[in-house]
Amino acid sequence: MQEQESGTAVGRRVLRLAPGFDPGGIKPSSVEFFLLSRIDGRTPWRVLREMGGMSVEESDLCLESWLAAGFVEVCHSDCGDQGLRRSLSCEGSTKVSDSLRVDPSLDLDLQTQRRVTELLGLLEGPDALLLGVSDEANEKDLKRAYFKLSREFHPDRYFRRNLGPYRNQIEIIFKGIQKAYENLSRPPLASSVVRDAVLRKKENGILSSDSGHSQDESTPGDFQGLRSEREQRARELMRAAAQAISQNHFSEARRCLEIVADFEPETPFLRQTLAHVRSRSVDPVEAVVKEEVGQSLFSSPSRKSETRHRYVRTG
Amino acid sequence: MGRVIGIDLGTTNSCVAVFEDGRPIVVPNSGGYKTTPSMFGVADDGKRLVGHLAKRQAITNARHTVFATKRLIGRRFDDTEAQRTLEFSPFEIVRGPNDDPRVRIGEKAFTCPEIAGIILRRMKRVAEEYLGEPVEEAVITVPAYFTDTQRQCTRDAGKIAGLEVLRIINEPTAAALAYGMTRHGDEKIAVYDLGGGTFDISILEMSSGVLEVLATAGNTFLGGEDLDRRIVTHLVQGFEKTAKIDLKGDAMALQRLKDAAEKAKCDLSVREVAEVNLPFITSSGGEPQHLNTEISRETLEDLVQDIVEETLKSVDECLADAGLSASEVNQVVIVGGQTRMPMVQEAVTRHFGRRPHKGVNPDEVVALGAVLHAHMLVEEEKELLLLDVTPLSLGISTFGGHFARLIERNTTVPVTKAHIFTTTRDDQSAVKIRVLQGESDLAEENDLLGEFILAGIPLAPKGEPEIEVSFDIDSSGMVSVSARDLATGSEQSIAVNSTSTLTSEELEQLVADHEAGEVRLKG
Repeated sequence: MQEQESGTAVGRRVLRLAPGFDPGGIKPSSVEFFLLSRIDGRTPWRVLREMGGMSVEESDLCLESWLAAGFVEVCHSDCGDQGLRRSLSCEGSTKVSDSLRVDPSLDLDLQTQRRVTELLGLLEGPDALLLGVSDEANEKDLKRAYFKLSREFHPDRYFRRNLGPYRNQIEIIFKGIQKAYENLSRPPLASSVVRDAVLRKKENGILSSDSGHSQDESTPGDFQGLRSEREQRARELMRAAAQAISQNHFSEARRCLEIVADFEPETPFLRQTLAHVRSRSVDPVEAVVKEEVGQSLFSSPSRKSETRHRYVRTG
Repeated sequence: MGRVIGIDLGTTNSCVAVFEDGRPIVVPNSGGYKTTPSMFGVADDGKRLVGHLAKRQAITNARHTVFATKRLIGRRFDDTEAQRTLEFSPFEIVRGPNDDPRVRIGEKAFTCPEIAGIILRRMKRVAEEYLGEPVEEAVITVPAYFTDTQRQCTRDAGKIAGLEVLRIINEPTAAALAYGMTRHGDEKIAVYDLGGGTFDISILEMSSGVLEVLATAGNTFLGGEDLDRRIVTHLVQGFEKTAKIDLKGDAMALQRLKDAAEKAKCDLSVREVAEVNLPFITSSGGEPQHLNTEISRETLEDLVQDIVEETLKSVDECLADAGLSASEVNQVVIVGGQTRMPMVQEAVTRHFGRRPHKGVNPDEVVALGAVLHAHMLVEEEKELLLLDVTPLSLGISTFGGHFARLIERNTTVPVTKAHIFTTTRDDQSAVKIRVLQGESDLAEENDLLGEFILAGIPLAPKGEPEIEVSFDIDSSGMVSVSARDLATGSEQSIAVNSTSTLTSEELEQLVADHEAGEVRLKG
């Protein structure tokens, strides 16, 4: 079995949807639905398995079964990890293990040196694992874990000590801890926050450039602060969409998916599912809207936003 | 290596503390006072005076006695705040070659970092006389709301004073540290710091040996000096009514009025009515004129009501940023001499629904916190870890003059944040990265910290290139910015530490000058 091999090789695999994949062909549960929606030909396995509402093992099983059924396939180009690594922006953290050796001559006890290496290994993993808390940790647990790790890794604790290569790494770890804490402690979002996020995305596109094209460059995905808000909201909407599909409420599902499409980068899955539910949603009340949506399908993001506003008003 | 000290470099008064016998203590100066006026003057015989001696000559030699330059440091000559100071100042403020305000005394124009450096050197001396050994390193405090430029100028002032500045930390944070050392258990603390020239409010959370700043807000141009000014204006208007004489153009009279106003204000903290008696304030038609009047506490409160209200607005902003309501705060610590005013204490009590903590001396607590921080940095004991924040948002100017924030205010430091930008024209081969600090959405309204150009972008349609701009604030608060073209990997970066109003040559010269002066004094 592949899983038994070195975890990283499997973890680094990047999945994409098989060409000709028909989302109407499977009836995933809401969590599976979300997982499927994240398969974009860029996100590696080890990130995918941590993403959904399932346990890591369940995610693995699910991905394996889709792979076996031919819904998804492994990308063979090695481009996959780059986008992710870039967005983590922890300079040099990927090459750490080569350069960090336990060095007794440093002014840092060996146990701490090993801790640094250990934490560096967790930096690109899930936030909860880095902080050493469970997924259900409440605000208080989070803060306690964050403070405990801060006491261990805040650069001020090692002021003027001879740390060699560890100095930089300790600072990188502290920044990682802080970011993980920020991501996890964000309070649940009201939908208005997501709306603001969408508006900010638009604005941001204009900021970077006057061309609509550039909006692809500055999606909120690059905007780290919005990342987790966005993902959480996307998860909720996907869940709602999956439920609606299972009950054959296609217009409801379409509504959810279109909102996701408005602030998420368009994955093949999202595009295909959206097309699928659009073809199935025929309620007369929304027929007019559907036409408008049809016209602007896959057009520039600014067109999309117009459609959405019109849609929201009608709905 | 010498001992470390903590200096609270105040607008009106400064204070120095050392760590001794396991605890921080404030060091009295040779006159026995625990605080020293942040004043500098040149006597008629050319002798330089600092502290109480400078204050003593302020009235007789108003044009050559400088005070409250903390309100000018790190600002540009044309800033409204600088202009406001100019208007009321008995000493001469001129435009320096770097568009910075400088103080002219006789032939020489002093930069603000130099004056701050002279005061810091005095504080260093106070500590050295007490300890009987040389001091080389210090933590210096600044208002939390100081911009990067103002902080950098303060750092330069430390260099001019012959000090290695370990850290520049925020005054309310220092106060919270000193307060926190005496406490155990979990608490949410508000520090209300109304000093001579600035107002800061910080909300902190203390838990399991960590003191985390949740949010900070304030106004770097609001403090006791403004109250004094209101009283002076009130007195001048009253005198104009009764004696039909305008005192506004009379530097010596204004300085005496300022002195009397400060005294009356302090008196009114403990009494209902204060007398202002200034004989021979001026003369008219050969007749000496005297100013003799009374101010009641009520009059004073009417005069400054809006200033106190203004501080409460910042308190609300800060609470909102921290995500707390006033009632969730467990303890309110008040700092700064101006918080002695009963009206301020009442306003704070009303606002938080609890009486402020009385266990700290508002004049000394900041210096105590500064030396505590210095001690915790250099020594192995790490009883309390401080998680501080950056008070103002950082970002760059983008197309159309907008401000794109990369690091939001109240973000814990050290921190790195990156964002990808692109070009706005076809075949654009270079982008200019303008690094800004502030809260306005319009780039030009924020403080420019520095700029650089990333060139050599391969020709491409607009919007194609991916340029990653990355901001980094290290644990000592230094900001560095880099821009990288993701296609070619070419990179440009700047360390934003040259944003002082002094050029590096000027700074070197000043450091050398003052070191030479020091040698002369000792010899």
